Amino acid sequence: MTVDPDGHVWLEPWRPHSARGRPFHAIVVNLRSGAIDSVRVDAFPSAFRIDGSIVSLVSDPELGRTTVLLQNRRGGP
Amino acid sequence: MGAPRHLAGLLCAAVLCSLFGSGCERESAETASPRMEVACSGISERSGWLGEGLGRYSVSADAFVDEGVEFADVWGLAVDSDDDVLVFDAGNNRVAVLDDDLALIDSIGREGRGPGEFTYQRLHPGSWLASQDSTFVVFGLGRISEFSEDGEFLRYPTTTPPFPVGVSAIAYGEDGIVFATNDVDPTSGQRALTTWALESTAPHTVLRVDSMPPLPRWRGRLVRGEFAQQAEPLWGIHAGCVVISDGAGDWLLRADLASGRSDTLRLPARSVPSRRDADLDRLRRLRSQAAALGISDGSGRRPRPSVSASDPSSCGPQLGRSGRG
Repeated sequence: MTVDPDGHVWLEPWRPHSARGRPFHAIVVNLRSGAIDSVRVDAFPSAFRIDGSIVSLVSDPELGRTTVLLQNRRGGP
Repeated sequence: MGAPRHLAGLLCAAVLCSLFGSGCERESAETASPRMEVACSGISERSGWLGEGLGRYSVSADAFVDEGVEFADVWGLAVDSDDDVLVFDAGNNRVAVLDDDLALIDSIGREGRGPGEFTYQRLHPGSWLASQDSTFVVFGLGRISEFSEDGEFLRYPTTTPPFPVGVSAIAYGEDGIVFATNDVDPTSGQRALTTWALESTAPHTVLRVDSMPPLPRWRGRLVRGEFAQQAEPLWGIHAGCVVISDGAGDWLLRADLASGRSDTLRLPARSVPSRRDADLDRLRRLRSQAAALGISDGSGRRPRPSVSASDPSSCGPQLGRSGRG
């Protein structure tokens, strides 16, 4: 779970390991109205930049490596 | 400080995660619960990070090594007012500052016990970095340090060590620094997620306590679902409003810290995706590797931690109770 600066809660749905590393839909809940939306991401966000991009952490247990990812929003489904 | 040091822990986490799956199993829905008793303020109709229509996020940059040093146990990520990315690289006793391309532009802190210094420990990881306006705070071993965003140590917001163990997250709240602890009774396995207000001296103030499903048992021993990212209590905050989940139930508990009022946002049930042959092959491989490192995963069965949702109405807050320091 993470909360963006606009007060919307982002939830990461569980998926098996074979599906990780692939894009998925994060669930976004408006904390005021309860309205629910979703957005496709390559990795679940940990922080939100003012320019509209999101920052994620990805850990690879087999390599013991943590990677910081920057994701930008693009049009299209 | 990279792979060898952290391989065992990450490997064990991966094994447990593969065994148990993960919490927070949700799916998109059209509507949510109409029960709205809490008015959280300062929330826009639509998140600026959702955009106005269809869209997706895709990776434009990545970083795992800065100046030859791999990130090790990253326990917090935030963005400062300059839009730079702050990474609490706990294993390296620093806060790395990354620019638009995730290139390292500054490194704040060093190993030690003085002002502006960090002491690495890995027993109770959490989300221990928070930023607001032109400052940020970092929870290190037993204390919190506040810095200006240009890296100058400003103060210790509290003079009260030891800080409670089990801190899962710190944040700037509406009236100061707040933090959450994930408390577990070592005998019963009963869990509670406690929200605290940080005071300059002890005791810190308990803002609310929310009961969570107990830890599952495996061969009589409690299994830390938290470690496996499974059915882990989740906590977040926006201004004076906290949001809490048991990591598995179809609800979000929303609470106004000032009034103590809370209500529930219902989420739609979601079927859990099934594992594939590749997942089972990977699990067998991880078990083998874990055994070589002397890590026991409890062998072949798949105990399922309790994922039944707690009734949020029973998550009664205990307001105003002073807590431990």
